[in-house]
Amino acid sequence: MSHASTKPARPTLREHIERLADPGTYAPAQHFSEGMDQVSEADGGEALIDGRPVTLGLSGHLVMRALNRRHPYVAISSGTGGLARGGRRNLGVLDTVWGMSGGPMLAEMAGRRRDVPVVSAIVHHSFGDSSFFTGMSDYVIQLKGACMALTGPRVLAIGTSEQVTMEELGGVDVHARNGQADTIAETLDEVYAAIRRFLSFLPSAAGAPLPVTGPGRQPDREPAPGARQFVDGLCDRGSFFELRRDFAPSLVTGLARLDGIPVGVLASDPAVDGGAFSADACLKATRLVCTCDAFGLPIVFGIDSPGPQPEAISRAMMLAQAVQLAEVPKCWVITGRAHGPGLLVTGPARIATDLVIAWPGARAGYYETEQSAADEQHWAADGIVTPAGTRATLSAHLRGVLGSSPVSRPGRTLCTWPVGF
Amino acid sequence: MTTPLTDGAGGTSPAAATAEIPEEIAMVERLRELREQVTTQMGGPEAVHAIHAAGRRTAREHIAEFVDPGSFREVGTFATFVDKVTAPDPGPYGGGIIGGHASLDGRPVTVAVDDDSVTAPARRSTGKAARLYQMALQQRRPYIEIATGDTIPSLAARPGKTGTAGARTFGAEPAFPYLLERQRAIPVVSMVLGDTSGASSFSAGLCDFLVQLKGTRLSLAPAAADAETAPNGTGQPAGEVDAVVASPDEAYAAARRFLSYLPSYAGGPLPVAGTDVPLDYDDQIARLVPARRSRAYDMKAVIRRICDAGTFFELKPNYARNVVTGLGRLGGIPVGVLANAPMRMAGGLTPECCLKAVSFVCLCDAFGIPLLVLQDTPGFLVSAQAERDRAIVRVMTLLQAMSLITVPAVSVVIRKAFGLAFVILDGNRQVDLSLAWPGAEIGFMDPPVAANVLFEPQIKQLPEHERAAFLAAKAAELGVGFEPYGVAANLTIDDIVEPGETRGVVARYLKDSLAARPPRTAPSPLASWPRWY
Repeated sequence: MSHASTKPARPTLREHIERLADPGTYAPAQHFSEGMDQVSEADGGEALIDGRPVTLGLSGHLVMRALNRRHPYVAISSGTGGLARGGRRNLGVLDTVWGMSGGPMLAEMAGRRRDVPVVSAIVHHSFGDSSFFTGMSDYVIQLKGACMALTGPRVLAIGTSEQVTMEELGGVDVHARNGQADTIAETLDEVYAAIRRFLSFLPSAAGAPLPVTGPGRQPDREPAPGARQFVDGLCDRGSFFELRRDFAPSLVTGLARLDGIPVGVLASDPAVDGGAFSADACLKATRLVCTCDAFGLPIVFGIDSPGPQPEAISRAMMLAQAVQLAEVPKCWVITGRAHGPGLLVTGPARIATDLVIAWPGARAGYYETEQSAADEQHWAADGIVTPAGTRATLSAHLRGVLGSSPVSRPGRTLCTWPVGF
Repeated sequence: MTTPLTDGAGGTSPAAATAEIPEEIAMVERLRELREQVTTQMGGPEAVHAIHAAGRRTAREHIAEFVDPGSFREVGTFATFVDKVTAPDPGPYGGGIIGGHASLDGRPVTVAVDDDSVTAPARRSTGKAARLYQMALQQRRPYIEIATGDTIPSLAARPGKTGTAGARTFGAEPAFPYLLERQRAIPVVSMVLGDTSGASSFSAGLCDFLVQLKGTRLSLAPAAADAETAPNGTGQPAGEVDAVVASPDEAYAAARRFLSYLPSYAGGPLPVAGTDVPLDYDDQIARLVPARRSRAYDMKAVIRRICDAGTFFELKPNYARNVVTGLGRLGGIPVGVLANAPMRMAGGLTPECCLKAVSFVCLCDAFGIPLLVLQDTPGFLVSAQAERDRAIVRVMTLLQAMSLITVPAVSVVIRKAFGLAFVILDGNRQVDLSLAWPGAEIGFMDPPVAANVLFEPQIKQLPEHERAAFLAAKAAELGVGFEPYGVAANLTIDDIVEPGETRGVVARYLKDSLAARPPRTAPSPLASWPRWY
């Protein structure tokens, strides 16, 4: 492959890993045979990230190792698909379709039940294996300039005569908008930082201790109406790590810390479509609910929404199902209106570890004409709390239900749900 | 049918009648009168009249037409609204839902039908649907909801009938959380026979089979609230609906047909029927599939010949038609068929196709229905549009679903199967039996495309006029390696079968593997998946 001379040299896998992981901790894999692939140090190995062991490798090559060792896996796009990897090498034996299409790796991934966090970093043009892998990863980050697609423009031009650029086919704009990338990064350093950050919220494996830190810095303001104002006023200062920002913006989602406890946060944004849950917003929410449930992270909802858009019925039911099936502690804060089927996500049947509070003046009701103030109704099951008191209420509740040394108790059902939504 | 207990009611004076009838009998008489009144008057004679004037059926009429004649046993006849604070008038008996137990083709079912003689938001406030659903679950029989429509405009204006507070209406409707965590323990059918919104619409997003009457509107909110946002008359894409019907009678027939292939509950015995059908060699089927790879043919004709005659029942026939999904029988055993349809885009798979396939695989797996996959596809259709439509996630979700199947599954490559599409449709090597017809091509990529990609450097060096011939030659070379004998040699497929013996081979295999399977003790993972994602 030739590159324009203006582009900086493409880092090798080793260079990526050395810049991403804790300095001096990278131990490349020893040469061994795995399935039909000869795995060697060129494919990746183990390193520490913030002191915790992680396997890192070219696309999906070493994912089995991470699964066996019960720690996270970080796939760094190799830039080659199954064709280039196996097809060229095996032209004489064209009957090995399964191996060439990444079958063994895909089989491991498809059956993994989300027991360890899996990250995909798209830092080079990625087709075939590398892009397939993103569809089953818990977190996908794409570097500006890199293309992610089932197959590349060249095969497209030959197979279908469609002429498109890398950017048009699978550039960051495409996947920021369709939600297939959780984060878009401008630089490689941003990629590395974001991966470290994402992993910092998760246990090394489902069932391992939750990475609770000491009490974080107090937010510099109180939570206020509006998704980002809610999040900023609720979470430890600077801890909010937003996911899929440009996809379905009527719902703001991300990971954060609340008094040191890692949580998933979903806040409807009344500034966008009144905070309505579009079909895409339901997909966005479902992915995060499943991730939190798989890794034992409590979930915090901030609701100021007219509910799902009327035609989003199936996706709304899917989200309601996910919320209902999630076994981690869930907290709802009704900050404004929660009417229409917006009540769906407030979960009518709650488990003991759940908390439902409302701000003074919040209103809820199935139909807008029938909504009533919070203090008249039973739906604010755990009381009316002022914005200023919200953080303390949630933190006390979560500390209470999680106990002093919280272990991530993963749910048993959502871990087999689709990973990509 | 009410049998008179005395014949004195007409002729004797009231005083005499009271004297003659013992109190025990009078109590029964009173029940009968009340029941007669409740079941015929429903939300009031004027409401029933309005329903009939609109050319519609009352809830009880729907039930009478739908279930086996005379089999309906009502539950909750005298239920009424519980929220007397905000709705001091207790409202008509029935509580907005008419339901109970009945039989359908001789098998027990539970039905819950919206009573549209009662105005919309007041419905569902009795918890009656929840009670009916729980009973169905306990007794392990299918649960069927019929949404008759929001309301008739002339009835909507009536005062005093829209009373219950919204939040409480919702909170008091516990069928909904039960449905959310149902994990397909029993089959749930949702029939939308009128414009439907609110709580009545929920089961449409959570059921196993969704039938919708043409021209009706299904949505979470009533029409007024979303007139601007609803994209079209039906207010939703067609993919979620399994069958669109032209009349309530067709809806009943579709639901009946669907349920005829399903066990009464997940893990229950499959309703095997017609086991004596012959599995003879079919000397016609091979002619349905042209050997020339680029020629289209009707895959449904192939499916109909493989299934027992007249048993194939297609689901979502008008959505993502590049794949065909449906239920049928093979040697009497219910089977789910997932097939590529070369008539449409050569059978190439779009993101919508993946969605349709996933939804179908989840249904079959949840209820233990074996799967038959018939492959003839050039692969996943790649385009900038497909990538925008989230092709990666859609394709990988299909892979995940196929990897999680627990039912016996057989795959047959009819003509073409390449790369990732083959890997996925072959269940990522999860199918129990992987077969191919002798003319099948199986490889990592459609040969003409593969030749072009692999030999690009050589092609570039050739003069323009020689390129086509070079490519054709290389494609043919590659094609030799794509013959099924290559993949049969290393057991990527288990065997090559004659088209004519396919039906017999698959039927016998499914029969044996079902017999050998231990009874299911836990729901399959796919049973909890959303019906549409």
